Amino acid sequence: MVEKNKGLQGAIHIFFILLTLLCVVPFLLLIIASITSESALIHDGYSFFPKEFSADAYRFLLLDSGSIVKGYGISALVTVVGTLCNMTLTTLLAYPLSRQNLPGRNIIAFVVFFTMLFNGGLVPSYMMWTQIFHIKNTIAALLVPNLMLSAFNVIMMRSYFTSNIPDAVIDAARIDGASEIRTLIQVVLPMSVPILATLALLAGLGYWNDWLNGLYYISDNNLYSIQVLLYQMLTKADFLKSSAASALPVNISLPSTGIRMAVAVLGTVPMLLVYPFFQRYLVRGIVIGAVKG
Amino acid sequence: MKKATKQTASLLMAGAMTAALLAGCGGAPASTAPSSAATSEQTATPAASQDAATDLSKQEPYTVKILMLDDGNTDIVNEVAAAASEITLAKFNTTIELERVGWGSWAQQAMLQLTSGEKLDLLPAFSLNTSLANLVSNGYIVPMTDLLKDGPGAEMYAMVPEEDWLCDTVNGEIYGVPFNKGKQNVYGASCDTTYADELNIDLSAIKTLDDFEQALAKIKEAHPDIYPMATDGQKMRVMVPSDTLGDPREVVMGCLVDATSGSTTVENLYASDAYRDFVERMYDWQQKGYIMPDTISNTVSGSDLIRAGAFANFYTGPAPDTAPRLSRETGKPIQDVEFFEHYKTTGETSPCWSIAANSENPERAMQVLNEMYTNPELANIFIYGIEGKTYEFIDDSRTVIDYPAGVDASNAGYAFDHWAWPNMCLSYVWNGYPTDVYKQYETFNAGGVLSPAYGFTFDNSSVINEYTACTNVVMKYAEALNTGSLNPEGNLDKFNQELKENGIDTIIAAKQAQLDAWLAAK
Amino acid sequence: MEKTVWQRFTRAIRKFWPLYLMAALGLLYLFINNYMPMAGLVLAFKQYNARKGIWGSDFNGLKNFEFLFKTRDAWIITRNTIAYNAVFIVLGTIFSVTVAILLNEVRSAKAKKLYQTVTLIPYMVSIVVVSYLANALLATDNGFINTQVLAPLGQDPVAWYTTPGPWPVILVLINLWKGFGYSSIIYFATLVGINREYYEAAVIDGASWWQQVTHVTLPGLKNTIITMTLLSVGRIFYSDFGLFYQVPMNSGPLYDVTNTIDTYVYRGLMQNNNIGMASAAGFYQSLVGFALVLAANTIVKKISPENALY
Repeated sequence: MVEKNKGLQGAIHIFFILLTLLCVVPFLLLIIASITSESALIHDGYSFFPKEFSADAYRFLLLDSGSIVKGYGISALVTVVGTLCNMTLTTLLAYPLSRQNLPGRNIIAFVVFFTMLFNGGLVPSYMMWTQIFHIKNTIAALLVPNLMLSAFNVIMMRSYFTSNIPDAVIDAARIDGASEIRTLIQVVLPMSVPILATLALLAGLGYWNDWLNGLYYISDNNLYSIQVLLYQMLTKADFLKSSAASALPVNISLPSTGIRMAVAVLGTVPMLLVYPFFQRYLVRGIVIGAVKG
Repeated sequence: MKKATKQTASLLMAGAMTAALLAGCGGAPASTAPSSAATSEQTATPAASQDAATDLSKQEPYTVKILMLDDGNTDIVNEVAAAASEITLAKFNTTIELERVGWGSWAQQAMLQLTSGEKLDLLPAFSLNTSLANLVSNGYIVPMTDLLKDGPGAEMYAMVPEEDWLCDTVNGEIYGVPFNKGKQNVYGASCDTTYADELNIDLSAIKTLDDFEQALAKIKEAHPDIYPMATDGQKMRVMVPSDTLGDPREVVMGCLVDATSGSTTVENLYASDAYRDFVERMYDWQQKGYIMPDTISNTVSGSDLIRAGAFANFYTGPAPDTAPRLSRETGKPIQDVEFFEHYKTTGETSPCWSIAANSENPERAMQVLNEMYTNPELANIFIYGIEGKTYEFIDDSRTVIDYPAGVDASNAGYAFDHWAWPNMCLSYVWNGYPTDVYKQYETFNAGGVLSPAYGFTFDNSSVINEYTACTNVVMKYAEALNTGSLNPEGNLDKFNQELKENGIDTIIAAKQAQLDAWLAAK
Repeated sequence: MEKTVWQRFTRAIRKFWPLYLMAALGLLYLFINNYMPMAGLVLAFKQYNARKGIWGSDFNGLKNFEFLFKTRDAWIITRNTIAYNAVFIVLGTIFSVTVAILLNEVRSAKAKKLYQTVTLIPYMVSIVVVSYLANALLATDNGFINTQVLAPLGQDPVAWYTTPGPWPVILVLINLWKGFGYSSIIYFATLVGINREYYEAAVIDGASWWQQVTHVTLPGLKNTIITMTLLSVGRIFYSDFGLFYQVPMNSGPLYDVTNTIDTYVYRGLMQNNNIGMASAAGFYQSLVGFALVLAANTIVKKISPENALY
């Protein structure tokens, strides 16, 4: 847009500065709480300026670092593999759906869309996964159920293909003798970086933040992801006690509030560290994609 | 077959365990007490029992899958399963598969396994947010009367008193083997004696909630910045000596409000004066700062709060070793006070080991369960894990144990809730507990008033939908009222109004009818 | 006739088999993950018994439904689910579109990127962590709001977890906070794609900034807004389980304002162990949700056919 006045720019910046603060400040509170001494947390409450700092929570977690490290490993593995699988399935389904001349595409689209509306419920799903596919206590339990393909993402990608990839481009590729799969990989996908980046981020988040699959299908603590650890701590403080409390001298009380904050920080930080790199491609991708499209 | 099992098991027992220790178990009728059985059976010729034993060991191979409730480490659990399999393979040609489920997800995972038909043989039917009768009416567990009376469970059957079996009986069939644990309803509080000593409070003189309240007042006055009364996570035990007639304590749909009075009228607990008095008292305590405010978001257990400086925590149904165990957990000197006389109810006795409906061969599962109940070697493998790794003996008679050097609760990888296994009385004594602790259990279980409905279990299948609706209402109000977080004024009436709208009267009528029929048949 | 259908079918296969093959992989997954368990919906009409299994259990007609709708719960969970979602959709769309438009106005590329990055952070965080955050703010005795905001103002602390009144606002705010960054990116991506020439033409016509927004920007966003809204309407009978279960800490006194169909079904399964009634609630959820989507899609088909979902 042209002719922007300075007042408007200033107002917009103020708006966004407030908005970004709103997004960041709660995390600041979380981080500060994780390094506040337990007694200050209990007596003075959560505060940005605690009376007393303490690294007890993290020191305590170091005692039991094995399960945290393992949890990171599981979460990372599941996130990477899961995202790759998810993107493959999503692309392969969205692309045919975007082809206007494909007979039966409306039927397929409805079959996909319908899954967003009806579901069989937890018990039948559980029965199927455990008894037909035997995924209980395997890494597949964290990868496969529910997270590998979302109808929502398929529809988004299809819309993107439909509106941003001109039919002429695909026709041209076919005239050159490219097969469908080659057209997809060499022509369509390079033009679709923004949607790929966005959906990959979504899928990755889905995997990194998932705790329900862990809750239902995993009882082997070698397969606990970081979020499952976090959930276990939220529901059962004794979880900490049984894992490490007795390593402390008895007269020091367990910094349970601080520990939970510390684990929450540990569960969040990796995604926040990875994300800005991702974001760089994401934003560039959106602009390039938009210009090209 | 029955005889064979009995003989071999007895021999093993006699060899591995002193008769004196065993005599402390179970409170079984004297004639069938294991100690006497063991001695009398020792006369059996070794050849005969060997023949009988090889008999069972030639069965088809089978795997018994056992679900256990524990925050341990899966690798160790697998080692325990392997060690247990050594015994059961030699004896029954049966392999043991153990699946560990942590406390945080126990109810969800156990329920999912039961509902889904996943392969499962044995599990502790405990802490599943539901009654035994409900498990039965949903078809989750199988009847075991025949397997117990004339099958592989005969020896175990003889060790448990008749009236205890009734507590796990639904519609005339036995569905579980009760944990051999403390079976009294005891209402009281575990107190940190350091506060009592400091302020000259005589804990032994505390007999009522009023006495207890005075102690709290003194402590609060001297230490205004602590909350002397702990809660267990979001929960506070309700100090009303009722008989829930098989319902879990958290959700009571009709009960005998005073179990010790002899009355058999089923009433709505939440509409009773005793309950109103209790929640009003809790609200008052909350206002006075005796109880921490945000109990709803509290996930810290009572013992951790005591460890962190609280004075006391309510309990129900403890046992002779509760105080020493809590001392060990909290590092504080603990003394118990009690508010009511002991009495026995179905609910306190009924936590049991059951055979899941998904078991492919309940008879083979029963063989293993019987062995777990009677074979000290096997029982101790399940309860304490691997010698030298998760525990070691500290005395020459090999009865008292402790963590091995360099091992503690943080890295043992196996938790020792001995009461959650079929027969904890077979287990070694942990260092610091009274050496005659299981003898004490026997005395403890022998006394106490019997609720007139002892042995009765309510089957809610005819009113299951009313039950669900009312459970939702109880979930909504009870925890907040019990911890004093919600003002009973107005809310308690609303609570009961909603219960009525959702059909609690129908449930109570059904319960009363079943109870009356049961009493008449008795 | 039959022959021509068959001919058309074989011709399509012959010509497009690589495309069908691609789609087959994803469809197979959907068939397994989503369609196979749907057989379980039959449980809504049965009194479930694990020993008899799904198929062997006895039918009890509409008894599960009958009872579900006899309770006050049916009304409360329906009201909560729809009302919350409606508010989420309306406020969420307005706010995200506003943010996207304003973001597009920011001239400094660096600032633009920074704002975009930061506003997406709440979206990245798992709902379990959000419930920790909410607790840090709302805890009664040591929460930030009670100790650092209300206390200095001389106000009495509020027992947030037992006071239902403020929760609709709290939940809406949390949902907005967590979600706006993501949806504003989608709108922003569409905005960037609007042809510059339209704006230039508008400026030549003497359009003010506001007129540009209403005449060029919003029409350009129309399609995306419709698609996004339609998708949300399709999910109007579903709720974010974590938001309504974890964030209020499953607190009983809040049930009237936090109980949605999803939390109800979960409690029915896990706490009450009544599979029949939980399945009935799930069935009801699917059925009404389905009807709503059909209706919404029909309306959209009439207004702007190219945005219909199928």
